[in-house]
Amino acid sequence: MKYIPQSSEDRQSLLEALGLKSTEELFCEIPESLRIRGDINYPPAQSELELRQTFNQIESLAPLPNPSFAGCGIYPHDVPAIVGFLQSRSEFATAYTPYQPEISQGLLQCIFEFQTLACQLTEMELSNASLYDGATSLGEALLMGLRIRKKSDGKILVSELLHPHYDEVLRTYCEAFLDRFEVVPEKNGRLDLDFLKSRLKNGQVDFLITQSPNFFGGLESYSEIGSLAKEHDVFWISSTMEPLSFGLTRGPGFYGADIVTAEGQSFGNQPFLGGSSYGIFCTRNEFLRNLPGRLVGETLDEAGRRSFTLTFATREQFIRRGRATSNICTNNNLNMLAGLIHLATLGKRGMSDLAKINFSKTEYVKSALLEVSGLKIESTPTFNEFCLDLKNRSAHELVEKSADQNWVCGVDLGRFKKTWKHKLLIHTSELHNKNQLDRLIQFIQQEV
Amino acid sequence: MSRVTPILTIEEPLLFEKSQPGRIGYSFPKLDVPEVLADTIWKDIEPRAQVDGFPEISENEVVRHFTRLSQKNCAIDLGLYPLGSCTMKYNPKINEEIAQRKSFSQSHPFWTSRFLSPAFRVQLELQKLLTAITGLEAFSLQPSAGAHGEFTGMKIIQAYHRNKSNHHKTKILIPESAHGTNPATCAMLGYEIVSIPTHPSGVVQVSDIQPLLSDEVAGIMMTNPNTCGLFETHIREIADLLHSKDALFYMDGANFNAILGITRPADLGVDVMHINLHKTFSTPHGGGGPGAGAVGVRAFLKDFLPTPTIHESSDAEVQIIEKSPLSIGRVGGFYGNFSILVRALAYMLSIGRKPSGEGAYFKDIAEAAVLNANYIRHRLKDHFSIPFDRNCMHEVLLSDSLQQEFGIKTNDIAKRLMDYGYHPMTVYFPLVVQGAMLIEPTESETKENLDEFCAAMIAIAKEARESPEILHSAPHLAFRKKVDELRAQKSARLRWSPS
Repeated sequence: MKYIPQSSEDRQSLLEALGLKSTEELFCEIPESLRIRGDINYPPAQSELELRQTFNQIESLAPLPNPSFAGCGIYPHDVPAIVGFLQSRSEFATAYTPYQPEISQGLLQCIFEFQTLACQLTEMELSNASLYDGATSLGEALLMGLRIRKKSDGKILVSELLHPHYDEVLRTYCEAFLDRFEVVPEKNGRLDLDFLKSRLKNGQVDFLITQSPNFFGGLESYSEIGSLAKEHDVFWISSTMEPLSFGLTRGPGFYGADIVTAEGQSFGNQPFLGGSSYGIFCTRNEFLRNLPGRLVGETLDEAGRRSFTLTFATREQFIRRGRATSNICTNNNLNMLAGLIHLATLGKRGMSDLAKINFSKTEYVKSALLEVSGLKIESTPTFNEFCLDLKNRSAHELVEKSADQNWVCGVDLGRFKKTWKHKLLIHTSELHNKNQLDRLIQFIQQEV
Repeated sequence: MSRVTPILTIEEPLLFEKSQPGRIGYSFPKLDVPEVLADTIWKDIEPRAQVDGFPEISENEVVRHFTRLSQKNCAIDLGLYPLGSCTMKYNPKINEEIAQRKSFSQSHPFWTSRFLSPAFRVQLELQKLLTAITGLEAFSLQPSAGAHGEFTGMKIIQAYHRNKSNHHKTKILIPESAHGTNPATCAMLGYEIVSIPTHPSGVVQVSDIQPLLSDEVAGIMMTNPNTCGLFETHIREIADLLHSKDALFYMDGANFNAILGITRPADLGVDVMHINLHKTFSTPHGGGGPGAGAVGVRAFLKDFLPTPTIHESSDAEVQIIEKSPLSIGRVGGFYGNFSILVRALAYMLSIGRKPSGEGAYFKDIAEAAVLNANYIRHRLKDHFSIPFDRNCMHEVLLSDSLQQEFGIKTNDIAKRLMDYGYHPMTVYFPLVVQGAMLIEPTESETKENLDEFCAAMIAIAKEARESPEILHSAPHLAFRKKVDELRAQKSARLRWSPS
């Protein structure tokens, strides 16, 4: 077996050194009654060639649709060739967590650079080394907020336009606090700010959780939300599924958010059915001791040279155990690295240019569809995704019809909630050329 | 000849220090639709001109930057990486190739199901193999890592008790030798932690459990083989005892590699467990993730698994169940770390029954891993203290107690190992042994590699006696001398900023 270097001669010589006759003797501590005797039902081992053939077979189960206008939390983008090339270097991919700084400076410097970029992007002061994904980052954010405000028992206001997966994960993570949850309804594709204002005036609210762009693609008015949060001393947590939008919008930190979380997939990571990707988690310096996850800091070695190391580890489970800020250990470091490399190549101008391309493509489709009767698009500002109300037509039917032609016209929001069955969520990006956008427009014109 | 010789390493500035205005590292196609300026249509949103501070670097320099940084790391592909409880085994490259196939990399979680058959088939087949090898009836592949699996599994136990109105069950038993994630997980769920003191044998005894087992106990979390590298001999009796009080047994499967094909968790009395696919099933650790923490349960707990769950219908079609009344709900976005699941399936398919028909490679893996660890124990036992000196499983636990008289501690030994070209073992864990050094060679090493590593350890033991100052000031040959971790905390610089 090529993954086990021991030959039978090697095994014999190791056993002899130990004074044993067979490997059986090594397992003598395991009671006989608990041992597997006889064969277990498991398929025959496959060689490399057979593996390729098996996966050819699995791949042949379905065609790949093209183009796809599905977004809804996972946004395919053009990933530069260097990302996969560098990320898959063994020195990155087959390393463990950088607990020994003297021989892990490469990874540590990468994390330090990522922490800096994440702060710049969100306009926050402090970032951790990343968490699993956008949804769990939001769950961790509320748990962190609840630790900070543990003496208070005011309400937790959650946007109705939070992605349903995020909402479910948030409720799984914070199940013990569900009796404090309240939903802020949407109005015309955005949070109903009139409702929010009156709610904040009546009765104590501790937390506000918003998402922008929201589940319908709408950009929330963060300047107004930020000043409301400040006025009412509300701990404000922001979530973003498409951080490329920060190329065109100010970071939530600019408006005073207390914690900013985001799904990092858009930077450097292919969709992969939604994972693995990584979660961005930023906050203010004053909350450093409450931060979940790993953190890298700058220091010196004994020779006085700049060095990096994991720091403030007394927050973490391997030191603090039952009193840690989270149980997280393994995170999604290699996905973060892909994001870092992608952002490094984009840089200041590329980030803006890519955001503008996404925005312009989406506006092109929106403006063409605005002229089609039988459709409704909210006038809400959007970035690279918007929600089309098909009025009498079912979004499911449209999606299936495009699938018959081997492409995907968007995401049918009826899969999340029956009352949304006429809503089609459409995402466009730099991946779609004008011909594809025109086809989408024409298809919808014909169908409604 | 020395094992370690210097190579050219270049001091690499931060991205931000390399940046020069006007440098470009990307290329986009010409915009083929009219350009729309956000400020012409946005009323209450201020468009952002640029992200202040973002670097400007050409592609070639980005490539050099990360290539140079990569050289300042240790990695399995560079050599033995003996971190105990981390199972740093070889990560086969065919699994990487397969994971990059377009049917997997391009799959979108919200495509209509007809396009997702390959992705769902991968998950279904992986679940079946995990069931075969553990005996546990149902699995969720959604958790992103071991600790995430613990959170999921313990939440399942909590949901089980809640469903039975066992509201008085508020405590979880955890051995002192447990990974820190175990108590941290219980704390996240509001459980009170009852610590099981370590028995002199290193193995939990039934008599350790009896006095702690009140009606308030909801369950136990045990790692098996445990973090002292020992098999929990009394595990079945302990499980039976817990079950008699309607308490459940959670097994932390971080060390599952040692018992593949030797014993099945279900036969040990385990009700819930997680498996770190990035340990036992060889997916690369990525410098700290991504991992995957598959959670398996017995049949009576399957309704509590997180949604969505993936099933096979009687006519072999894939079925996805999005909601289920007893489920603990979603624990992460979409379908977890799917790209890791593809790699794990490829690996699991490659370690099945042997062509000869006699036995399976996965059992050979466990045997080789255990044999290698015992060989190291045997080679080092005259040079280091071995707190539990008997047959170990996949990892061997040493301590620094023989070196203390020379003023040498575990950390000195670890740093000196770097000069011999090795990543140190896990240090100061488990906490139950002072100055612990936990060594896990895995099955991936040749006898020569083990001998060289042991020779380095023996040489260090000799240095500790004869010239301890060499150890105190180690590492000498690594990219950096000893890094000042205290300073990082005292004058915290947690991001770059223009000076």
